Amino acid sequence: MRLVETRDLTYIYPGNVKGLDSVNFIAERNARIAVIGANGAGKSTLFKHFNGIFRPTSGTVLIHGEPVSSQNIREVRKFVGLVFQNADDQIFSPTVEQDVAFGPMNLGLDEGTISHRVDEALTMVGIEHLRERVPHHLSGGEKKRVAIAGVIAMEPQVLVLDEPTAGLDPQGVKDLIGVINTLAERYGITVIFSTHEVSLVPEVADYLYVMHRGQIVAMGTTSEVFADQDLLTSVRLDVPVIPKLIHSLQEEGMDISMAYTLNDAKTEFMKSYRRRV
Amino acid sequence: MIDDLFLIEKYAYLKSPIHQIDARAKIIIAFAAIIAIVAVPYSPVIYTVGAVFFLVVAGLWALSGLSPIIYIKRLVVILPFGLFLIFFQIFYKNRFYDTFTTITTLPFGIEIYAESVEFASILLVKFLVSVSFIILLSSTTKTQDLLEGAGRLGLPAEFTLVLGMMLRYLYVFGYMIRKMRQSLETRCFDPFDRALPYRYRLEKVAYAIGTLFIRSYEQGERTYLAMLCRGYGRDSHLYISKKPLQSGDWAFLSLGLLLVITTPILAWIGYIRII
Repeated sequence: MRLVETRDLTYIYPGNVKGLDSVNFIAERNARIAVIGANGAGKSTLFKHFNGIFRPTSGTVLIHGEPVSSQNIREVRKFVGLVFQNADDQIFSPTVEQDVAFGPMNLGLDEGTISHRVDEALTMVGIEHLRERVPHHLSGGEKKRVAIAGVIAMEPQVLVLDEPTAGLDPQGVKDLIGVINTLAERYGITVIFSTHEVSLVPEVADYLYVMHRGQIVAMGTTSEVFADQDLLTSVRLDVPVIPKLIHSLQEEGMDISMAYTLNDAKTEFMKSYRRRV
Repeated sequence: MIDDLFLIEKYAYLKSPIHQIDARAKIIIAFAAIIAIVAVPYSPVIYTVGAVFFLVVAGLWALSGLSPIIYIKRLVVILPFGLFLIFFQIFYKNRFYDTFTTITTLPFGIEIYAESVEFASILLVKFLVSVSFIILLSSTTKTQDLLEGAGRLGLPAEFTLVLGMMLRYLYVFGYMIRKMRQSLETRCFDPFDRALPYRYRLEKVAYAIGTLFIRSYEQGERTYLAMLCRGYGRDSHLYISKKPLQSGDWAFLSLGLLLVITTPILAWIGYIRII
């Protein structure tokens, strides 16, 4: 089932700047999709089409098989939740609880349901203890999680995160990866996120799109995309350290299979080591 | 609506002989014309001067390659401010005439005077010409060039720095407002949605505005500290490089000034007359 799909999506910004150029994107149910690309590659512009903030100049955006229109825009926004890059753009209520309740309130839900959804959302991202806090006293990582909770409380089937790890410390990144994986594995939410930190992609994504100058230049599973190291470099991106290391060891003649995550790499190194001993 | 802010300079970035003239020459001519038309005494001579000046604006506008619709749109936005003041003049006596002839008497003893109508139309001509020159200047000159031009003409550093920062942050906050609005939209909030209680909507809009104030305050603090880190002090000023006027700019400036000065004089001594 295709939850989000774009067909030849082209977007031209007012002032005649091309934001997107014939983008074909598909997100299946329960997928974890990473969109990687350098600054200005068109990742945020693409994401803003997923819930109707931007309307295509040409081409179509299908959400659950239906084109986005003024009639179904509310349904679309319930279905696809978008978390902004800068949490400060999103959080505006006096307390964390009120901010998380904002989305459900707008959906016209009754008080019991709202309170239940707020509890659930805060638990899902692990910030129950921040409930009564004032948003501007929170750290960057905490704010990020409040922003995610605010969108999850609307119970979307697709969660879109724009540069979720930007500006977070290593522990913050680790916590966030945990949250994303939980949402996908335990709650069955389709997660689409953008990043230019390629090293964390193998840990969180099953499928990968590479964007460059408004176009999709490559797509596939992590192993497929990271196999073409020259392509990644040509679009101003890096290759994660682990596959880069294994690749260069292979070139040196070492008998080792390719791996992308830390655990897989450890297994492969052990195997190779045991073969030698 | 906020998106229009980012397109406000769209026409100023086009290329034409008028766009290319140095901002200093354009600023001087625009202000000289305004001073000249305002300085013409309240008499029917103004119609001649106004007509000539208006023709000048029309000619320059044609040379700039911009559509007259842009001019009309911008004029319509400014017009109500002046028209409001001008319209009420017809009911009042003023110090520029000795005798007043009543045209009609309205209920409640309100009278309309022939001289006041003339006075109002003179004001209208002055207003239209002044505004037209400003529209021409702002539509064919980038704000950054206007600022630098004003700086080169001797506008004090305190003003250029503050104006420069104002321009920069106008856009920064424009982007901020746009992002906040999009994030509200994402969570299905529409301030005009009647399905939500009025009080609730008002409260949320107020929170959003409040947040914007706090963010602008914080941004101000951050920027100021960053300025201090780079040695900002009492003598700081905007960097404006030296730029000599080209011969074309000189020609535009001298021809323009000649026209702006001679037209009212010739009209006053009766050498040229339209009405």
